[in-house]
Amino acid sequence: MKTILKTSVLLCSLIFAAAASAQMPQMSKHAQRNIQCTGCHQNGTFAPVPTAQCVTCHNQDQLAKSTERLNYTSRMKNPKTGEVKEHIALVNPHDSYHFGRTEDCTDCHREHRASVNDCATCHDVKAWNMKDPK
Amino acid sequence: MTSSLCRRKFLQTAAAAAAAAVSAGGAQAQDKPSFDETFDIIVVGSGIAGTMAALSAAEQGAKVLMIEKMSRLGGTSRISGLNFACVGSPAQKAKGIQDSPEQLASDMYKVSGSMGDYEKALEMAKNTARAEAFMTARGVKWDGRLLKLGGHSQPRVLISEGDGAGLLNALWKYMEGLKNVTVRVHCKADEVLFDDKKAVVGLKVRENYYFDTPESDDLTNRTGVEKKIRANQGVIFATGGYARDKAFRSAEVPFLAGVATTTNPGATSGALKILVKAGAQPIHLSLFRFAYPLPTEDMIWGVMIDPATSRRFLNEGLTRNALAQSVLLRRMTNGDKKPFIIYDEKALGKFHNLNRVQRSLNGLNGIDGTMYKYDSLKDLCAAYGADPKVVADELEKYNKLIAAGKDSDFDKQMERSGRKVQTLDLSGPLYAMVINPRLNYTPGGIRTDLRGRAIALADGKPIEGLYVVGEASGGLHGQERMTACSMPECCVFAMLAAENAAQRKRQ
Repeated sequence: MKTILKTSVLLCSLIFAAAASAQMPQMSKHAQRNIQCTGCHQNGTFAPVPTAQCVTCHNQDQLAKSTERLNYTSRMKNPKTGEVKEHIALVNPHDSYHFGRTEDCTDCHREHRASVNDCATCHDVKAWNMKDPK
Repeated sequence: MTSSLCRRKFLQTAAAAAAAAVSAGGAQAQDKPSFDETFDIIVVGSGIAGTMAALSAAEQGAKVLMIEKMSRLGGTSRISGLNFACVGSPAQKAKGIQDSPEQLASDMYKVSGSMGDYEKALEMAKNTARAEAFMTARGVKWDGRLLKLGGHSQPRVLISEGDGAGLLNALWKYMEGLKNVTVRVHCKADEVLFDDKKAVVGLKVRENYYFDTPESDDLTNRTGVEKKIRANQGVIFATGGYARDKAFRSAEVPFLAGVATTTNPGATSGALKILVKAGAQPIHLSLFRFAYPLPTEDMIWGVMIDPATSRRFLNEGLTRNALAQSVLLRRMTNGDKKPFIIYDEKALGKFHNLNRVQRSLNGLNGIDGTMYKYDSLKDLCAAYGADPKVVADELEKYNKLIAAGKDSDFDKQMERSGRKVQTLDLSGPLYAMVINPRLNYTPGGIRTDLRGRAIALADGKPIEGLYVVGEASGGLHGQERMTACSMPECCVFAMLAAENAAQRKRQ
């Protein structure tokens, strides 16, 4: 009985997969590199892909380094004392002041629809020279 | 702490759980739920209240599960300053400050519009030093400042190193060393489970839940796999407020519909609704608390202009909520144009703390929180869509009133904290930013007793095994929550609730 159930679940997912690939277009470079649905959805379901899966291909250290240039120095001169205060603004989305490296990839990067900038949920990111995520 | 383990393990458990959900179909119809897992205490939410509850419960010997629906821990606490009003801290002792729990409780009551809970505030204040010692002993570092912020009669506010994120990171690092705490992100509470004696015995959750938007969170987002988890001693909700829930907040107060907020995107009313369904009493849901990118008490040094009329329209020295109400009601009649505030360098020099000005001038102070510098009033007015001639006229009139020592237009106070309101130097440079009040705290929530136990709407008695702490609870602050008083509420009632739950007989 169990085997029948398992087989039918598997069969259903395969049929669903064929239908889904038409309905769920890939929007990142994954499609250009010919990465199939099951390249990311590896556990037999089409549940959202955990970050642990993304980092099997994408190196987190390299990602953090690639956007390190976004960090900048904020400055202000105290109008009363003339003292200048400096502070490093840690706005690197892959290693940020609030969240370090603990954000999920899918907080910003979406595969089947337009990506979002999670920083912009709260921040005025115009000043940050930050490109929209892909 | 086993969060990373959980994430990895998930791939295996998801399939098993899916199978279990199918086979448990028949069992669900019975009265007594069957459980997939058992803990002593389940904590829902992982901000400062949830983290403190989980730590305190674990140190009492309980086997603890802390769940978080978002992808990351910390909720709004992690993006907050977590300013901590604390009576009897080592910093106060070192400076010889004479303070008492009664003074803090009465300071809180004074600003509450006679709607606050003095007895509960006193219970909170009495336990703040204990909470400070608990956190310090577990790695939290304070930055050495002892502040007397707005409304406080004594210097008593502590600031942790690295703001809320720094404080929480220290506690989570400590938590990692505890074997009896399990932490799961992407895990959303759905329903409180009861036994036939009406005591809480567990929680229905969804694992592998993926939050998308505040709008879909509690209504249409059905991601995740259902699981029933037994709690031998209790369930503690530390689920924060509902400032991101447009439909819910505007049903209570229509002018809250379009306000800004920089709270955790997951701050919806879902947990509150689960608790109401479980029989708990909601209280003070129509109350609100506004915050600004700049300290409210430093608005008084500037001049606020409505771009629709290019004129002043209020006393810039109002309290936070009164100021927000004036601004929001004005926007309902001026085509939703955001007012802006003008300062000169002398006015900036009057701020009690320039850190937030520095953040604003450098694009680090959130949505509509960026301040710009202008060489002339003409440039400034062009940027905000105001008529420079009318604004110049208005500012000259303002300067005359201030010089004469009486604001006969809006009755602004002429001094604050020993500093005098002064005229603005219109020759420049000038500084300006829009003022868009942020709904960053919702004082309403579930009514609780002095041990954080949820009170039943039906009979006014505590619901056995159900606790609500932090912003998710309501009734302590009343109309105007004093600054730096959410943090002590979160810490203290989290500790008291965890201790109370851990003393309950395991069921």
